[in-house]
Amino acid sequence: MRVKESTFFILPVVLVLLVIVIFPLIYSIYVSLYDYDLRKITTDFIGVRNYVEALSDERFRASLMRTGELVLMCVSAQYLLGLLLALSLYYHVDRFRNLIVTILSIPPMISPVVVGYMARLIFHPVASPINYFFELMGLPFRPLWHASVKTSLLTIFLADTWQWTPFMMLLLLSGLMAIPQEYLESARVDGASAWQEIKHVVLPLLKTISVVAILFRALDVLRIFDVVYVLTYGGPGTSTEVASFYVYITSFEYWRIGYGAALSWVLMIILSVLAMIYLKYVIKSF
Amino acid sequence: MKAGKLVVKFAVSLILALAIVATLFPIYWMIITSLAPGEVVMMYPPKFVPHTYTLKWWVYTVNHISGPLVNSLIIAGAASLISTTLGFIAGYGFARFRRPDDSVLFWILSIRFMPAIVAVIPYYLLFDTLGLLDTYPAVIVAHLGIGIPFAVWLLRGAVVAIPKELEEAALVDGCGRWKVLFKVVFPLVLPNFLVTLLFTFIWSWNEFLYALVLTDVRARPLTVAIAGMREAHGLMWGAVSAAAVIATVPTLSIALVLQRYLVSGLAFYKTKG
Repeated sequence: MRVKESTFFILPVVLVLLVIVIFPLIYSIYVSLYDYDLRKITTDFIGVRNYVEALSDERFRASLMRTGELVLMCVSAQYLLGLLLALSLYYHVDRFRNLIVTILSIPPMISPVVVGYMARLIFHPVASPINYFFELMGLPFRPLWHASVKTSLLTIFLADTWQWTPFMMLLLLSGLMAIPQEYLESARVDGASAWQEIKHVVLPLLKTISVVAILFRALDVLRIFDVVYVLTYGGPGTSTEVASFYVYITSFEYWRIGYGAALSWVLMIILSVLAMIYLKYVIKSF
Repeated sequence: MKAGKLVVKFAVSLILALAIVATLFPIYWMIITSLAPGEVVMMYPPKFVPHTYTLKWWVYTVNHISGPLVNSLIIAGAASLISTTLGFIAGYGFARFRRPDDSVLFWILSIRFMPAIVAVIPYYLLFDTLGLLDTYPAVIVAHLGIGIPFAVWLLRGAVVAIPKELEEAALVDGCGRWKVLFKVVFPLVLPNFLVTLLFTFIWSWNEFLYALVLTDVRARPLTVAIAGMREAHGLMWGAVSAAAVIATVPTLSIALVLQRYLVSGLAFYKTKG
């Protein structure tokens, strides 16, 4: 029997991924069926009891809701800001476009750990330069940012938005640049105003790239961890305890690894279902 | 009409200026904090341009994080090289022998969206069993899980973009597929190979959760060391800033090199359209 030629190129990677990704994931399901606790000597098979507990875990549910809230805030703000910046650059900047794009695309290249740390400097409760700016502008608020339950999630949102708005902008700008000039010219010949041109020609053509950008960002925020760890460590209280962080605490601080594995699978399933519904809905509407 | 245009022009300039300032200020502030003496960060109103500068935080930091710096280089270097090489071979296979909607390809790409928190739990237990916790291979393997799908995706695209005829000529001349791969295809996709290598390097260099759980002191990379300085040196903002600047310099230099590819990629679309 002759083995297909393609096998030689594809098989090695498939095997590597089976060993380093799929096997651990299956092992994780196995662990999630045990009362696996690193502080205890014995480990008992408990079936789906970890999953039953997960479904009634108020703290887990709260962390999921908080993550969802963060996803909605981050994705909508970053998409709109990214679109605004991309349209501004596309229509109004020619000579300095490359320079501005270069500057604006710095943040996504920085480690989220460093971004979280920068946010600790910028939003320092005592000596925040932002609060000083508010004072200069005569604005009455002096928020405590990540040190207050009221504004901690907002601070995480601001740090994430600072870092990832340029990602949206870059994808949308590449989408804009791929629009054939004839489309725009024919719209102009027909007497369309700039606003009509954007609304009826440009935005519909950006639909595919928008779907991709929003999906990428939504899936990234759903697993947000690094910035939270550095900036707030889930606090104050549990006000910034997102899903990934709660799973981390459960597994590596309380050492309930079996339960942590079950929680992580609930998160994984929610994530996959959302991604599939989103893609299906979007593909249908094309 | 003319006034309306002026207003738009002004608004756009204002938006872009604000975006540039908002992007650069935190970076500037971090650099200043690493160079300013004493607890400048605690001053209110803040001093945007310090009168005196000091290198003491830098000296302290370089002495304390040289270990993690070397660890980061080794981990990111190995992870990016292995991912990109495997990704090139598989990317070639998918580009030449499989359809774009191949289910195996889709499966590989979907791994990119797997939350790290799901995989890190079994990794911790498995590497513990193997006695590999706090070693380079543990972190490198974890990083390959994300690096490989990314490299397959980028390099499949690069191979699709080059004409088949060159390879076919070489095949007719009696070259084997592997020889064609490395002698004919590789030189053609070398720029893409390097771009992929740099992107996977940056990703691994910046990664935090896997490294946090799988390392302790010996194999700990920079990101974990910086996050740890938070507790150990709560008030040494200058030292943490210096470490954060050190962690950022390589990725930013790489990003500036890659920018040319990014912009030329964008320009390519435009001339084509």
